[in-house]
Amino acid sequence: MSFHIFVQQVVNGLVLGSVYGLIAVGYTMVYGIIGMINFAHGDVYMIAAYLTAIFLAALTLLGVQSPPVIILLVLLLTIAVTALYGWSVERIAYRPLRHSTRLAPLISAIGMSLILQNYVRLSQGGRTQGTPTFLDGSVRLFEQGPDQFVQITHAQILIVVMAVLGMGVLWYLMQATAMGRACRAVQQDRIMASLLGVDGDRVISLVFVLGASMAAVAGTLVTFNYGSFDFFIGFVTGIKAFTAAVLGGIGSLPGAMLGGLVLGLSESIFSGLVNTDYKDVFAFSLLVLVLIFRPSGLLGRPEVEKV
Amino acid sequence: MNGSGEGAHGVGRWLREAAITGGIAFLLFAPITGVTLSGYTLEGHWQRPLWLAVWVAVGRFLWSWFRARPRPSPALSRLSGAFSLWLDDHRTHLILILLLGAMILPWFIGKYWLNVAILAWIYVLLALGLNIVVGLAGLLDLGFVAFYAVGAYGYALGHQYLGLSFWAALPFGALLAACFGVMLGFPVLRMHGDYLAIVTLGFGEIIRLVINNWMSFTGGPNGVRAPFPSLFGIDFGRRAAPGHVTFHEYFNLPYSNEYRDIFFYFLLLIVVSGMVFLVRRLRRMPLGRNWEALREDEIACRALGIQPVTVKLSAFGLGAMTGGLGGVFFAASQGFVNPTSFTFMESAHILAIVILGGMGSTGGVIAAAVLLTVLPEALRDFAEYRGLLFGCAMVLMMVWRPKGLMGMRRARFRRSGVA
Amino acid sequence: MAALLTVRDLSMRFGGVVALNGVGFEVARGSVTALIGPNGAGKTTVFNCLTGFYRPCGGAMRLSYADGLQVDLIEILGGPFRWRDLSSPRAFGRRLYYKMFGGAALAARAGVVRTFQNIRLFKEMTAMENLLVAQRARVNNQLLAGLLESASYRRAEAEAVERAWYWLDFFRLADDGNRLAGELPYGRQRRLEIARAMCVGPRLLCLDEPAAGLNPNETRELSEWILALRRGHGVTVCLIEHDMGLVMEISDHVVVLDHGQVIASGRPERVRDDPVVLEAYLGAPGEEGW
Repeated sequence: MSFHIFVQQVVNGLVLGSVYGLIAVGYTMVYGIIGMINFAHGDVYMIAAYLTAIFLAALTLLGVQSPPVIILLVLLLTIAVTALYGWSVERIAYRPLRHSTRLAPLISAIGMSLILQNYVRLSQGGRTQGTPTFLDGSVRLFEQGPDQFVQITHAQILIVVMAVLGMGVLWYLMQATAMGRACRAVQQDRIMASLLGVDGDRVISLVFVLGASMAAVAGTLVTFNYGSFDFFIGFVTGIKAFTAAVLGGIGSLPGAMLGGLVLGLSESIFSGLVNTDYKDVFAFSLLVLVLIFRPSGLLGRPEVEKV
Repeated sequence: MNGSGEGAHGVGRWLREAAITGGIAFLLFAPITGVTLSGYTLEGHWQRPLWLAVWVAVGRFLWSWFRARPRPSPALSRLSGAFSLWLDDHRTHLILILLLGAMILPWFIGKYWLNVAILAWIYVLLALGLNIVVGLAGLLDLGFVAFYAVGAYGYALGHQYLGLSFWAALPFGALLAACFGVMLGFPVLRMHGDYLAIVTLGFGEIIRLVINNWMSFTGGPNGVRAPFPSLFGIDFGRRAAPGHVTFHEYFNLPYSNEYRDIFFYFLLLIVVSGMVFLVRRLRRMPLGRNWEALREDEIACRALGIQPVTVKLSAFGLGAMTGGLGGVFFAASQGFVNPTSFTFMESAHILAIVILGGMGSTGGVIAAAVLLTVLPEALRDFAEYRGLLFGCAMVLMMVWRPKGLMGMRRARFRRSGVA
Repeated sequence: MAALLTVRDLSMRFGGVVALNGVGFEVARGSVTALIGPNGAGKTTVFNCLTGFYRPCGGAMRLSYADGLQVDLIEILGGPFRWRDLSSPRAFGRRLYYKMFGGAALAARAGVVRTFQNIRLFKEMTAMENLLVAQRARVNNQLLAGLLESASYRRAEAEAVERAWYWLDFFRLADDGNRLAGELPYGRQRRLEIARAMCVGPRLLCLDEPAAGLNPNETRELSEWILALRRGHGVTVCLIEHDMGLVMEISDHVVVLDHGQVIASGRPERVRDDPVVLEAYLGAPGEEGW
């Protein structure tokens, strides 16, 4: 692999990793608070991709021209509706089962994932959809000839910038606001927090909303960058983002981002070095291996079993 | 919510809640169902989200009303109690009647429905296998389709490369799948329930992707041929291979491929009956009891000297074996396998059967498998909405009856004569 | 009386928190030994180490039975590999085996059986089934024998059912045999859990707060049962308990823990009057009793 291809793959990997990181945040926050995997999270991301395309088309029909305005409006609208979806998932599939058996919420979340996929398929059709590329243009680095360069598109730059921004906002919310303190308190000890007047149900809802918002950012950015999607994209991306969350240490916000980057980079370099066909196999195998050998992840602490 | 707000006041609150729920539903439905992407522009369908939201609001109202009702009347619960007692007394008879019905069925339905029935039995087999893992041992396996695929490809590839016959492939496919189950299970089974679910999900996808991408060995998306079984060397084809006899020649009958399907149907019926027997026995055996104990409380099991790893492995391996068996039958019945039959949707289908059947209950699982296989064939519209309905069924069952519709029947013990 | 269980220098850390620091005590064969101390003193941690749920950071726990059998409870837990194992394949094999299959299950098989502070019954199974699960060592676990219902399988099963009835009768649970464990009233659940532990055939029965949540009548019954178990069934009992009345009444030996250390031990009367113990409980020497 030549230098240019390698650097190109690293760039692509970082971009991909930012997306995984953004989605992984949703898994890691939910897991941190209720100790369960939100199986419908990947599909919330898929919904965000559809919403982005729909809002983009709607704004174009309304005659909005300026790219920054479009990006901002689409982002805000998508976040709002996607967050509502995240909230609804919690309300329907998790809250009624808070005191049920261990398997029940898992199964209802899988049911929710099936519902979302099929609901989108039935209403939007099963075929792959696309959006016009409206963020073309790119930067070339290390240019040494006609085929010898590293290309970074503006959309890719937008992804990384927005991912950093999104994580920054989230970090601020969690660390510096009363809301974030409530979240962290519930994460530590839900019963104690409720005794101190923190409404556990509201915090759990909030976490689902925040996670969905981050997935919405990811969905919007990916749609801007790649422009094509179908009702099934949430499945594979969801598992990979979950892998990222586990890799970084589930429950930890910086861990999710780090895990996303590590996964994105290694997947991208694997595709460049070995084979593109097996890149999903690679990611899933990584998931299995991490869970077997280091379930606490890179930044997580090993769990002590409660007897 | 709470039983205190009865009467007109309650109805007012329900209406308000229903209106709010409908409003939120409208916001959710409007962008996705109200407009559809068509190329780069949009088509409007404004009536769709409106109706959906109205239905959600009505559903919410009915839900509140339903929940506020007093508990089921004593007459009703007495009736259901009497019914379950009657069922207990006549269980053996009922099973015999059903078996008899299943045996004469092929002569009353046409070729098309015979094939549907064969598919239904395959799903019964798969669901019984997954039921051991999910319903009895409480391990959520989302990659069950992997073992199904291993069985199916074990037969198809075994035939292609090793010349395995169907009869040799049955134990081979089952054992191969069991090996895969144990291989995956051994490291994975120490994990937390959620992790297990996602690892099995990933494993299922790995298997499918490898089959799909390993062109030189598996033929990739083109699939592999899997021949139909023969009966003691007698073929069911129109013409026999050199040195063989065909079924219709041997019995001096006019050729019809219906014999073949009926033969296959009975073969499956025997295997499924064997499986039902096995599961029913296992539930009363130490192993089955240990599975259930493990589902209830792993820590308590360890404190009693039960080794969770081996107990879980046995459930996982046995479940995988059944999946493999189902795979061999599936490959033989289709005559051909390719990776599209082994997607996550297939795992979800089998899981939905187990959940609708009421996790753990053998009869329920069989009924659900038959229902969920026959319905999509009977109602074309149903097939389109299948995934959606599976999802709704999973959520509703968990919210409403997490332990299944009937609840598991427990073995009863009496004192022996010696006091 | 000789010691059934010898604990020495037991220490346990969770991250930076020292839960146990050099705990040592003995449980005499056939005795009732109580582990007491204020909340957070490390009593349940000692139990978790004894029964194999935690692997202690250091120390020794050894069982020596009357028939001469010696069990090293630390080895059973599957300690980390040592360099020495490389020179001896046998030691390596043993360590590997214990790492894979060791822990609580082997401790239970060695005869240390426990109950839990927050009752852990198999709630969706009947009381009978709970007791049958506990008899793992006695029933016929072979798959084929069970499927074919061989004579030896049926005999073992019938004996297990008999034994389960015996323990149900013992704890006055005879009418609840076929009821779901989760449906029983609280006091009966506590009893059922002890009955289940007895079905394992323990030599050392560890009861974690057996009287918690029981009314005075039930507590009195419990103390009679514990004494009967020791008298009639050769069981040594080790219990954690906050009900001092119960502790004083039934125990032969009391070990007091505070901040992960043994601060006193001896006969109940002596421990009760020990000023160090009073201080641990009340924060300062005072005239109030328990």
